[in-house]
Amino acid sequence: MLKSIKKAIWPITLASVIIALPFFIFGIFQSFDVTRGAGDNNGVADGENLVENSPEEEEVENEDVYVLTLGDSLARGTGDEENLGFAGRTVEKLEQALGVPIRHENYSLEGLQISEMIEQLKNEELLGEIQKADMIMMSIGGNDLRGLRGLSDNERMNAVQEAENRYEEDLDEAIRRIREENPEVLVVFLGLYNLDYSGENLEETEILLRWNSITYQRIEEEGNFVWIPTYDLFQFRLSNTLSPDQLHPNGSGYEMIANRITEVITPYFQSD
Amino acid sequence: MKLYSLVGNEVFKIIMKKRLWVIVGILIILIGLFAYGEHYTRERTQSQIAERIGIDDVDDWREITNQQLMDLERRLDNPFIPEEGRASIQVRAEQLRYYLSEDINPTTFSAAQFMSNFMEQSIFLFLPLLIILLASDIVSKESTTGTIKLLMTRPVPRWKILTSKLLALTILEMIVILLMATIALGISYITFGQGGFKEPVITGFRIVNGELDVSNIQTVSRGTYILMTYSLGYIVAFSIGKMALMVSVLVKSTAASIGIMMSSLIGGTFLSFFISDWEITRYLFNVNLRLTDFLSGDLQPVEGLSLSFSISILLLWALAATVVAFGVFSYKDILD
Repeated sequence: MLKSIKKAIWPITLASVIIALPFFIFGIFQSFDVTRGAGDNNGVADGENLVENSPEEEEVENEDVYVLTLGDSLARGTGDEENLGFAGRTVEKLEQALGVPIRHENYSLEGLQISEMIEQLKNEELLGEIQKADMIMMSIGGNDLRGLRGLSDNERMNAVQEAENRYEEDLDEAIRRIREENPEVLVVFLGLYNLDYSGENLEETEILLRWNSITYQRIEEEGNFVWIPTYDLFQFRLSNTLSPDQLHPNGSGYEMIANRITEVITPYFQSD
Repeated sequence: MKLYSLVGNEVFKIIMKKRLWVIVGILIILIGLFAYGEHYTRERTQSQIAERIGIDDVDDWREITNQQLMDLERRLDNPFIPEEGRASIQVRAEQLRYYLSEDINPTTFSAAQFMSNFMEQSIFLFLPLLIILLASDIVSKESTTGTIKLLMTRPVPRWKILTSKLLALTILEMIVILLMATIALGISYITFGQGGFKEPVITGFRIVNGELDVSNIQTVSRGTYILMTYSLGYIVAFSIGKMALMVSVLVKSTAASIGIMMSSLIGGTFLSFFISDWEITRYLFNVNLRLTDFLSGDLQPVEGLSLSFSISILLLWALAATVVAFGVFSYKDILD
């Protein structure tokens, strides 16, 4: 019995290796194929036709107010159950308050940083829209700030200073570009809120507040720019106003922001 | 004597020597620990997430996944996303759609994910160590036990003896890879309970001038991806095995043979990190072991490597080691 088992070891081993060999050869060829970038690009196949659908083709001329939204995921409304975001909600409220139809275009992009926004502001199509706009809502800077988290204390010292300087320059550039296209447009700039009001992360809070004040100061130099603080809005109801990702507001968070914006800007349009 | 039966004899000797069973034991214990650890961590993070969001049931992963998918689809509508970014978003969305349609919870592990992760993590150290364990005494043991003299007195030419050992080793290297796959599959399936072999995996990243080039990304099924990683694992096993065989010919004691191989394996890896800008490090076998990184798009420690380059280097080392082994074995004096 034992002897026959011993005899079988070699043929069994050889057989399993021979059976496995084609799989290994396939695997190696497939690896080459993939790293060379050949093969069927089924993941990217329909990527092309998606580029073509521009946000809006038909021009509607006779609307009274045209609102443009630029910025990061907050402007896009990530985390909102109704997918409106503060921008969509503000437009709805404003429509009600003013009693006129509002045309709204959203050019925001999740994860957008301010340097990328400046690239965006070189786009002819967008610049054309800016010329036509009556109001621009912007939310930017949160992603730049988030890049600073998780640094060690040593790295942070320099990185923070550097990032602040860069942010200031970029903000300046963005404002200048918008103003160049449209000296009249009302720009609503959203402030940053904290993700931790417990006071345990004082250093990060401090950086955030300084960031807010850079924006505030720069914006106050411009006419027709308004900075909307959100820091206080979230302070005592952070747990009820954040979406499950613990980063973006949920519907009621966006609702708070929209309420505040509407309250601030309605008189501007009414006095027009 | 025919080569076929000589090889059979060598395979038989290695399997009977119980060294292969030590390897099986190590695999079972380690994979079991990894799987348990992974399972434990995932479960803990899940309950933490559930607690924070304030739901009792983590079955809500469908809702969260749906939300993520919606976000991605909205991003695709945006005309300002560059072409490269668009492709990777699409692949990610495809993955999420697969999770939803196949009822796979992406917040937990699947057996297939564990299998490919295990090979990705072990290809540069753990797998070579197993192969060293297997191959290092293949000739030196004959020296220590004295059986080498018996071998030499038989009417078989020396080259034939070494060839049979070489072929036996090549076969058993594949057996080790197969064992790894089988044990990883078995244990992870018991632990995680979901297969997920059809899950789309993103691959085809390239690194151009130190930056990730995603213009060529594509999806393959997780099953194919596993085949790819384990095949690349075999190339590593093949080349390390030949080097270990050479050392085993050169050195008489098995302990010394294992020691030399292990220290050059680990030492070379350190070396490549300290002097990574030195041209010559890319020709060390150590820096070329992470073959699976080319599939997953992880950055290489030394710039300018590619899959074909790394495989060529590994095969060259194997060839050189084989030549040295044959040269020495054919002419060396058998004393004491």
